[in-house]
Amino acid sequence: MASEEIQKKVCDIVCKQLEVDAAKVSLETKFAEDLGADSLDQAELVMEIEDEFDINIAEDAEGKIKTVGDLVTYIDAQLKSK
Amino acid sequence: MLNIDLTGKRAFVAGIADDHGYGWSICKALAAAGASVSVGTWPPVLGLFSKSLERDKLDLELPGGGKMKIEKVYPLDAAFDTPEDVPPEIRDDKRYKELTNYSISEVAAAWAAEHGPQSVDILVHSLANGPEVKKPLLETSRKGYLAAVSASAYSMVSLVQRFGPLMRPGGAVVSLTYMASERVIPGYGGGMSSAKAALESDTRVLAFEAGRKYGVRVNTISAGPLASRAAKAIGTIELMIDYYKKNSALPENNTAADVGNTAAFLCSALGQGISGTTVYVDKGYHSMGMEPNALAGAAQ
Repeated sequence: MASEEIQKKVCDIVCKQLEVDAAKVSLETKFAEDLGADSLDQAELVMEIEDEFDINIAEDAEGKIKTVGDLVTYIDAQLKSK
Repeated sequence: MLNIDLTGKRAFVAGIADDHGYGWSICKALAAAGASVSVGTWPPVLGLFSKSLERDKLDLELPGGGKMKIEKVYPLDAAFDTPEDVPPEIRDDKRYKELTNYSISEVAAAWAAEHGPQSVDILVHSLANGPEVKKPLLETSRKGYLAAVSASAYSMVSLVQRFGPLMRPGGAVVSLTYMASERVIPGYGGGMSSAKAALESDTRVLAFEAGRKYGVRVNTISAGPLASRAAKAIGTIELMIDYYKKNSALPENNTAADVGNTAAFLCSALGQGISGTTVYVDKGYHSMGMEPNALAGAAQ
């Protein structure tokens, strides 16, 4: 899957899950600070992403993923290592 | 052979949100002994829990083979006794607005409508919330303190008030407490230690009152630390687990299964003489009075 496609899918899920406008979401967008995602939002997001891409997001990685870009990079790496 | 047999018994376990904690392990032990298990889940985590269940992401494997079936998941916010108690800001919150019937009296009414009178054998209280748990008691606000006692202790009283009339004689109520109620555990703040003290005292009084009124037993399990999701929220759980292991009578980690099995025993006919008690499931930590190695360096 191309990185652009991952990005598009991630943005769609983030917008739907956190009820935000797509215009507000870029690779630099921070989940907590910019989108106000609390720990529950983040857990729900992780589940949706895992489901969409059929990957597992490790619990210790969750803490390191701060921005939409971090998430796209993580998914990209997971898909490539499959 | 002596057996824990809960075949034909119906259990309601309040306070299940994931498959990490003691509550889950209690569900599994009850199911393994043959009980039918339904759960009550806090509305904010209901979506996450239901999806995990649908997508088969939860650990449902039973010891001895087979898979646990959760009969039904009820939304339950044990901070509210009736729908009138729910403030508008909660009712309209995005995690609540699609839900109804999540106060304790409504869940009990829904249960009665589905299963009829005298339809609960086992009631488990596995929930707590202390919004200021990270603050020392010296810095805890009245609001935070009362919220901790309301969500973590009164919720038990309210559950027994509402579910007691639905319980069959011989039934049992079990809750989860922690030794911070009677010994000082630094970091267990926000009035949570006070809430657990109330819970343990209420266990004794409810054992008498509900014992006489409904013929049921009421006990609480004081468990050692476990790295559940809720405990991780407090922050220092891994250090606690190490400390306990070093300093308990048995130098072992506490396991969720130890607590689940104890709950199943307490709820079974084998436990029918036990009521009003705090049962320690902590590898004997509570009885120690000194660190085992405290004097290791002293001259003989």
